[in-house]
Amino acid sequence: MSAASLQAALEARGLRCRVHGHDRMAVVTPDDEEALAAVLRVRDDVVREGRVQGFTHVAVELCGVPEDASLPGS
Amino acid sequence: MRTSHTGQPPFPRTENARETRLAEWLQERGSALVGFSGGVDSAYLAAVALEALGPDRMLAVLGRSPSVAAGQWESAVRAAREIGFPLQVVETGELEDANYVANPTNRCYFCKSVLWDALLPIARERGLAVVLDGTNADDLADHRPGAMAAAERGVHSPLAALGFTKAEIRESSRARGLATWSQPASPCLSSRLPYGTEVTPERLRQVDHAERALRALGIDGDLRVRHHGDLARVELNRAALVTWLEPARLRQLRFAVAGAGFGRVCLDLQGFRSGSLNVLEGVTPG
Repeated sequence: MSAASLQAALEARGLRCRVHGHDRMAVVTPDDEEALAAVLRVRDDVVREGRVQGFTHVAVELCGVPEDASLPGS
Repeated sequence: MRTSHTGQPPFPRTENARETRLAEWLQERGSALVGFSGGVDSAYLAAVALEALGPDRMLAVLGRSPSVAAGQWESAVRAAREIGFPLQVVETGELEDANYVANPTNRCYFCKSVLWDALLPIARERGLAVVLDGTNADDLADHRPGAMAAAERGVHSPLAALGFTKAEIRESSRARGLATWSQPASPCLSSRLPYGTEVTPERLRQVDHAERALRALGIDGDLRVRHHGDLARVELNRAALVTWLEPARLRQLRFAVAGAGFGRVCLDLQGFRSGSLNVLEGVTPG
């Protein structure tokens, strides 16, 4: 399992993110909300790339929201 | 024609050979204690047992502990009240067992050992002939170390023995008007912790809090919050995964889970997979 290789593969697809491995799980941390949306649009491909690198699980970190962000409707 | 043991009009049900055989099996034993979790299988088993044996010759027993989600326990009590079988609640002490707390791959063996060791004396005191669980035929292919604990203690699994599949149990429950027929699987909260991660009341409260918060957002069906220390990994069912990918909803989801005390929240891109921690750990059935 190679988090670095997965990160390189995702970056080659134009996805701005970092990848860390936790055992067989890869955690993809997008640079911002726009990058998060980009990862989610191609999530099946991201999972496939993860499998190629030996990961059984690929999860995307929900980030890019300021701590004091208000919720819709509030 | 088979009639209700209580002499009351038959409980609404569908006539099917397998269910008839189940009732006959129960009547051959004469009395039974049903280990009741509130799930589809044990609710169905308890309902058929009530009809076949009557309220004086059957008892359902529900275990309560920090590893049982609060919502699960409440719905179990409600289901018992609606179906009408006698229910006893016992506090199970699996968190006092160091073997269980260590959370090995056969954690369920220690959990079920504690459970059945608590239930068997009740059956003896009440003169109930057999102790039953709701294991079904589909379960036999899964990784189920708890089944060994049951077998060691002579607990019977009539649904599995008679070949009831999950689908059949749901359909038969639906035909009986049981509200539990469509209930998603609800494994204990300890199943959200990777093997080797110590089971503590605090971690169990965290996952319960997070999952309840997601339910409060309106997410139905299968969902899990897996505990990876400071990081929570959310598994949504396929339908919810598509619906919840919009940025504003993802913020709600993150906020809800972070409120349970997780510093980082991530979304599993494949969604809910039953036994996904087994896959993560490379644990195979058998």
